[in-house]
Amino acid sequence: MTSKAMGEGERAEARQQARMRNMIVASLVCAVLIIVAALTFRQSGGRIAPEGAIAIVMLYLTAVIGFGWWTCRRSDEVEIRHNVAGLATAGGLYWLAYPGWYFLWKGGLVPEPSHEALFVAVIVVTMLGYFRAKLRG
Amino acid sequence: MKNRLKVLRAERDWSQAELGGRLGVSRQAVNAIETGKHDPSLPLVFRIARLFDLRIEEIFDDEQGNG
Repeated sequence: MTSKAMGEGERAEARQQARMRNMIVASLVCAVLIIVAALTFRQSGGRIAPEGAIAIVMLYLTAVIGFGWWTCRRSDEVEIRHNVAGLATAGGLYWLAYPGWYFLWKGGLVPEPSHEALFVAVIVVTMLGYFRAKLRG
Repeated sequence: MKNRLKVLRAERDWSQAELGGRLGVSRQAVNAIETGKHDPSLPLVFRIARLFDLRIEEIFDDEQGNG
């Protein structure tokens, strides 16, 4: 509808966008909870208390599986294509970067691979790949 | 793949969001199909044809450059 009143389809589209926004907010809340839990259960030497580690893993798996399932169900084929592009880009980065870094570390040439840095890099590159695909249509 | 989606949508005075909502896809998906950046899946093609009450060949043209 090009007039002011929202049509049936536009209302459905608005509801879908609201659901997607809520899902993004919920996933951000989970991310904050995981960070807070990691800080709360932190012990000396950078370790995490076992009960804290279990709680974090359960929350993480629930969030990733739950949001992943929800996203696949609610996303249309174009959105899924953009998500796949993002994941493929990040997967490519991981395949390229990690083995090289690992073997160079084993050879004593570079510092040990940083798990946290790799994970953050994969998330950032996933988002970059996703937005690149989205911008290109 | 060329298509007449934009023309058919304009004939009904529908926005991209309106068409997307009726098809169960996003406004961005409608835009991607209209501009030829995305070739819709067969189930979506059938949904589009049913919505406009037309045959698929009346909406989509698989010959590159003809439209």
